[in-house]
Amino acid sequence: MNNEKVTFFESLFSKIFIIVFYLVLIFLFLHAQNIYKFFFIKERVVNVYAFRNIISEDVFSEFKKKTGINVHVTYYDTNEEMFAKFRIDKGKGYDVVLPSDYMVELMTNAELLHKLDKSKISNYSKIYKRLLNRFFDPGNKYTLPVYWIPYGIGFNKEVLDYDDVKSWKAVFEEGALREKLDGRKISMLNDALEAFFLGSIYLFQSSRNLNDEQMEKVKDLLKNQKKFIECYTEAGAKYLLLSDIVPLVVIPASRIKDIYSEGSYGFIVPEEGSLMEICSAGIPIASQNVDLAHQLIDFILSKKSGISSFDDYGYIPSNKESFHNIDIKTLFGRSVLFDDKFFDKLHVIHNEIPSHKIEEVWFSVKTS
Amino acid sequence: MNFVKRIFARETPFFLVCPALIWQFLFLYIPLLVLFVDSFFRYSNKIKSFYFTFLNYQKILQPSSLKIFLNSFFLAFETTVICLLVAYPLAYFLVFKSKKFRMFLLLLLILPSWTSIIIQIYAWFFLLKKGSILSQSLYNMGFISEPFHMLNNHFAMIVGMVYCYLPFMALPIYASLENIDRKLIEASADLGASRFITLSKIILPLSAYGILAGISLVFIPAFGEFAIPELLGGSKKLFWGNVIVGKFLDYRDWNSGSAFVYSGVLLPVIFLFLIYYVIKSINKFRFKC
Amino acid sequence: MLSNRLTNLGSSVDWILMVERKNPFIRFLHPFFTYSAYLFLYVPVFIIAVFSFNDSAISVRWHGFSLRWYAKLFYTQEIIDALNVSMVVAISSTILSVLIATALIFGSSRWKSWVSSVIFYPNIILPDIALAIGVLSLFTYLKVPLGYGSLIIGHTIVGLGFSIPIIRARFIELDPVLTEASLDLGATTLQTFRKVIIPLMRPSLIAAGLVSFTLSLDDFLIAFFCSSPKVQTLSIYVYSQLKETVDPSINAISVLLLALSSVVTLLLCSLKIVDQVIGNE
Repeated sequence: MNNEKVTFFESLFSKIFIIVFYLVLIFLFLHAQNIYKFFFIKERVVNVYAFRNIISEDVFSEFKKKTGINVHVTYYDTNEEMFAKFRIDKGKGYDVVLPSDYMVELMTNAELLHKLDKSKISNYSKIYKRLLNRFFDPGNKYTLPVYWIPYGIGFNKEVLDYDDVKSWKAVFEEGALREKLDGRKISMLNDALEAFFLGSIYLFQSSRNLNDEQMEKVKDLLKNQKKFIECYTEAGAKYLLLSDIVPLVVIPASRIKDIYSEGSYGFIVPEEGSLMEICSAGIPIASQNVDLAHQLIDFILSKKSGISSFDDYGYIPSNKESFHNIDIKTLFGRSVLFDDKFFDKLHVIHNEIPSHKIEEVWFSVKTS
Repeated sequence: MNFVKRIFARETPFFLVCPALIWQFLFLYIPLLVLFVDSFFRYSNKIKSFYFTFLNYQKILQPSSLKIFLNSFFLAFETTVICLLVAYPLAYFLVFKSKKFRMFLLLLLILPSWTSIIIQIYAWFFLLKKGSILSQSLYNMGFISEPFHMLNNHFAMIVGMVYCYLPFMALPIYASLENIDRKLIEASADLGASRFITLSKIILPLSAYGILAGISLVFIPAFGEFAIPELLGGSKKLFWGNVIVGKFLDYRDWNSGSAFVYSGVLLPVIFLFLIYYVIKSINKFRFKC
Repeated sequence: MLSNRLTNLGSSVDWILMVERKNPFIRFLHPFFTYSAYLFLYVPVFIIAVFSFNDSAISVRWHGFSLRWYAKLFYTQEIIDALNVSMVVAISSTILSVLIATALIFGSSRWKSWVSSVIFYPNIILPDIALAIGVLSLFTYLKVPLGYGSLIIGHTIVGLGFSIPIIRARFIELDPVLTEASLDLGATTLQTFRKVIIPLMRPSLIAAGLVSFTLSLDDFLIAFFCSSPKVQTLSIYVYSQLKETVDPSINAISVLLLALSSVVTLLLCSLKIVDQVIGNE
């Protein structure tokens, strides 16, 4: 062992150096991907941040074929995840983002979206009018609707008919279908907001605000429903229907499309009304490829893209020409007219109740 | 250069120790500390920033939130009790009754604990679902009127929990039983004690710490379990783990989520300390007699 | 240790067996109970394995032996990706765990013991959820996207928690005389390290590696929080499939994962037994 003295400061300095050395190493390791991208990838790219299973991957590959621009898609699982991320970095690195309805309002309030230049979007005139000018983006200054889907009741046509499920009573009132259900139960959505507002639409036709007394009624409704619920799920509903474990599920219509060919299944939007989800496309404010983003949004809105996404995932395109060319029967099990009366019944969640109150309702339902 | 070499030789221990310590502090302690601090803040849309408050913890004291802790507690408790009742005789058999196959049986006991929990869950999912061989055979043998779906209820959930946690209870008990000095048992027999008395007065107390270890290994993870209630129990009840998942992954509400995490981490620890003191005082009482 | 125990057991087991023979109720019930418990542990796995070879997608009846579900694994891109991710993460976190743990143990051999022990207890004691959430929040604050990095870091934390005690236990038992002798005979520190210390420690290094590898491969909880849609481990893939569709290819994946875990565990156990036996001599 060396016996030469090393001064205190030399020792301290070298210790700090060692720590910094490791921290730099870790930093490089963590940001390896970004560094690689920065130095090595120089082609024209449009970055999309989207929900999974809504837009077909073919749309993006077609876009690349047509324009030569590469599309790089990253997926997120919940709107809140995207919003939390965007709140911090304003969506830097992304050019097109696809938030759901209520999230658009939050994003425009936080000034996270770029204004859209509709002159660059040739398919704008083809968008179905009832989807435009909604509460979350009046005048559609920031986003355009690209897909929509109604929520409702999916069922096995061999056990139940359309008449049996034309009202939410079938889902919320226990005795309604007892003989036909024959001891089997139903499945319900596992999301607090969606479950709450479906109950609220059934009782009060409201998807916005309820007073405390009304909230108690919805809470009781959901608690009573629990007795004949087999399972709370959205993704697993398909399996429950297919294996004949439940004859009735509460789902968005797109889930039926997957199993349509496997038997006779139907979907209905009950007469009291139901929820609807509108998937919109917008441009994050920190985007650096605004023109390319407009091009891509225009392409997503085109007729062919709409059809191919519907074929893959079942979300209904907003382009009028697209949905005259898709087979709605594969969603509803029968033909359905999309007229004003139909859209009048559909509500987009426009929640004005503080989230902790809804959480409290959900907790008490699930702990009962 | 000589200077550098000199310093490096002297600082080698530090150089070696650093990665582990940095790793531990940077990736474990500091994030947990930040989360702890976070649990005392909330975001306000009005003032567009965070403010200090105890509200996150106050909300947890509401009946609906407390019930969630109770749910998790009872689930963990039920699982632990059943595991204990099954594991103790099992371990006892291995230690005292099996000579030839002991190593083999021990190995068989260890193996399941080293498999992925999701596969263990799938195993019971496959066995209990409607079209499974179990329901089909029960139907064929006439025990049930028609093949039915045995999932999405409390029974399926408990079966899954016990299945996943049994080895963790059995192994520590095995280890502590094995460590008991045989001479004590022989002495007890020589003094004329019956099997039952030997069991209750000698073997059981001496294996108490093994039982405690087993209980800790089962109770704490079982308290935080969310996958089994969701997949085998049909998401019909909310547990502490589910809420954490919801708050951190779905709703991104980390402030109240952290409060939930820290209040939930305390509960099983307190419970375990209680059991530890109970065992300690029983032992003290015993030695006084 | 085990071999000693086995010889001591002899007399008391005989005694207990003697007493047992007098009580037919216990004599029958106890083994029955024990073997039923083992059946409980192994029948579900056995059923999954059997049906992974069933030549039918839904039906529960045996349609004939077929390997097509295993074949399907090879051309489902998602499964191959998930397998890659699992493997890369497991191997990386194992190497990191063992290296960092070894460096720590050696570096702190002259320091107080709590540096290399107590500080790392939480890795095992804390519920994995807390660990995973810590990593998740760190990555979010640093604005680093989740993926390989977060998975490897999370798994290394757990791996360190187990590797450090394992390696330390062996290191403490090392006879310092050997090290001194080696140095006295003129070897440099590095040579001593390579030729004397490492070979003596090898069983514990391998054990630590095997433990970390298995923990990482089988991990579900940490991957649940720390993976991203593009970077999924095999466990997360099975989880997402479980929720939506159930087709026997999951049985095939399960069997493969089980086989892999079992092989590693068996290696580990055989190693420990060998090590104990050698240690006793």
